[in-house]
Amino acid sequence: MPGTKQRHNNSLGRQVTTFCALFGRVKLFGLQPALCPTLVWPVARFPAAPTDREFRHEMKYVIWTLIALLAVAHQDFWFWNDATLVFGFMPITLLYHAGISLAAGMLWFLAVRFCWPTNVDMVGDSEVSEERPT
Amino acid sequence: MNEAMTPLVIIIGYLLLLLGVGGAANRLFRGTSADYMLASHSIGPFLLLMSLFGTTMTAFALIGSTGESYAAGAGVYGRLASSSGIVHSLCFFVIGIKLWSFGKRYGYRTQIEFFRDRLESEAIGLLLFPILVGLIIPYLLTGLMGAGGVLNAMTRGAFESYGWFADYGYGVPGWLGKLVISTVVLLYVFFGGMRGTAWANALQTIVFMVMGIVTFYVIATELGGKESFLDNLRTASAAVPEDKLIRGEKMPQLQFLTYMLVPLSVGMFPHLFQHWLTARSANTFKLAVVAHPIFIMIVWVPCVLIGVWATSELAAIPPTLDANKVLPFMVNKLAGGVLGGFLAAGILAAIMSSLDSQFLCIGTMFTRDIVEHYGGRERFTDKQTVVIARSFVVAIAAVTFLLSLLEPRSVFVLGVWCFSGFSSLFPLVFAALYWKRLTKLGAYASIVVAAVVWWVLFRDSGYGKDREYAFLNMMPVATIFACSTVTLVVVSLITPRPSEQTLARFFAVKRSA
Repeated sequence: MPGTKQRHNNSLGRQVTTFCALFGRVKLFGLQPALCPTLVWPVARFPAAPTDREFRHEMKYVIWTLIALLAVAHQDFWFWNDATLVFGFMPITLLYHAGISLAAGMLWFLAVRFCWPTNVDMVGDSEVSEERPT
Repeated sequence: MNEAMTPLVIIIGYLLLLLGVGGAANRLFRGTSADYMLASHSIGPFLLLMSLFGTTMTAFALIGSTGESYAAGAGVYGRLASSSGIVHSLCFFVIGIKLWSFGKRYGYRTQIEFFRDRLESEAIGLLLFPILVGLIIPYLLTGLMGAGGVLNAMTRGAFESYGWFADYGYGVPGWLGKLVISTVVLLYVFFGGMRGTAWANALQTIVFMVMGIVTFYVIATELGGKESFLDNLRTASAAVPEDKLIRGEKMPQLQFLTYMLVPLSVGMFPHLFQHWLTARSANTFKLAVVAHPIFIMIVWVPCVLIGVWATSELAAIPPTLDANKVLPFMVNKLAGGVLGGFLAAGILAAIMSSLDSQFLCIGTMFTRDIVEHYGGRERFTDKQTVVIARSFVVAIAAVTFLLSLLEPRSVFVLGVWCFSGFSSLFPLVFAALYWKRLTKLGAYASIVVAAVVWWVLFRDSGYGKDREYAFLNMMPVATIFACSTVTLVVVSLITPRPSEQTLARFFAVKRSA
């Protein structure tokens, strides 16, 4: 694609563009989070946002990296022997891991949105002929 | 009516409702085997989410999590639940969608049908079939054992005025509870097939999630005894011994790390494979992928807190009480008869929503992978196929019930060993979908090595008797998984690759935009 190399000659710029474009595009219940404009501004400083196809390709790496980081964060050795009760009733290790579950839900939301395979829904009902006459 | 009889009446009402659901699903039954086994690929996002979640959450999630957090503390959630939130959805995303695609394209109804084609091997079925069935039966046992325990604990005293079942505290004996539960599940699977199973799972998932939250509220209120709910929570947690609030020495870091391999079992569960194939389209999976970790949190956090609270003096749990009976004991002691009955129904719902899929799945496997495959598919009409599948469902239910009377090991421990076996087969399904170089000899070797190493370690643990068993300071699944993966890769690399024709069927050439 013409101009692609030129736009992505700066790897930092590419990463920032991808992250900003991500937050710029995510909508929650049809509304863009108020945070988005502040996150999208670096797009103007770096080369233009990649096309949709390029964007999705790059997002795959970002999201899989985030999922790997979540698996690392899950190890939680920092609260191993911490008996603090947050709000007076919630063991801190339990609260932390409930947060991991919420983060997983959010990450899978992004994965579904940006990494969804494009070639799996090609099979139509007419192609399936497994039933035999009774 | 005797007050202790109230929970029993509510439980009976709930079981009748489930039979009604099975009957309603039967009215939509199209009479074909595809409809009986896969609901004619008609399940939408909500039902798929509820089916998948209900199927993965069994006695293991409610009874096991409470019992294990009673024994090991709050760290149990991180050890299994939050990792499952990451890994289960990963399996749905990476494995489930692709298998759904191949299943719909080539008409697969069981995993073995897929592996036979992908590996160009007849023998893979003979090797894999006994292993899959052998692993799923203990998983079924965890459900039935949990159900028997719950029914007994919740109905104690119900028959005192009649003088019946004195040896079982005048409650429903464990064996009778197991018999009733397996019969109810059997009936709605028998008549409703996969559609009945999916509907019943949706209902049961809603029931056990709602009742789980109500249980949590009631137990917290009763334990705390204060005016505000927050004060009750604080009072209950403040009484917990400090060692139950941390992981500490009882949960070594290497074991915690390697526990993350256990939820990979979801990628190889035959009953989940069958549920995946019921999806109407690939997009149907999206809701399940996103909501699954959050649903896990909703179910597990309250159960773990209840288990932790049970260690305090406020709960006054008898020291001899089996960990599997902690939740029923707390519910029975702290909730009234009516609420106790509904809560028991919620616990049974979680158990039955897994049992049904497993019964149906084993019936389907026997029918498709053995009878039809070796007897000749053309020998049977579609109606006969449905009759055969139903007969196998009945036989499996009977065998499982008889085995459950032996009362083997704790629910949690048995579940972990069973999951470890499925996890060790994960490299096989992953490679079959993503690695062209996988060969049938590599697959054979990997399965044999996984089975042998699993058996050696299981025996070494005293057949599950040693609850804290670790090998090289890791969960046994890590060793089995590593051996299986290395064998698969090495043997595949030194043996002839599959034909280009087969590879072309499973690895589409990337199309340009």
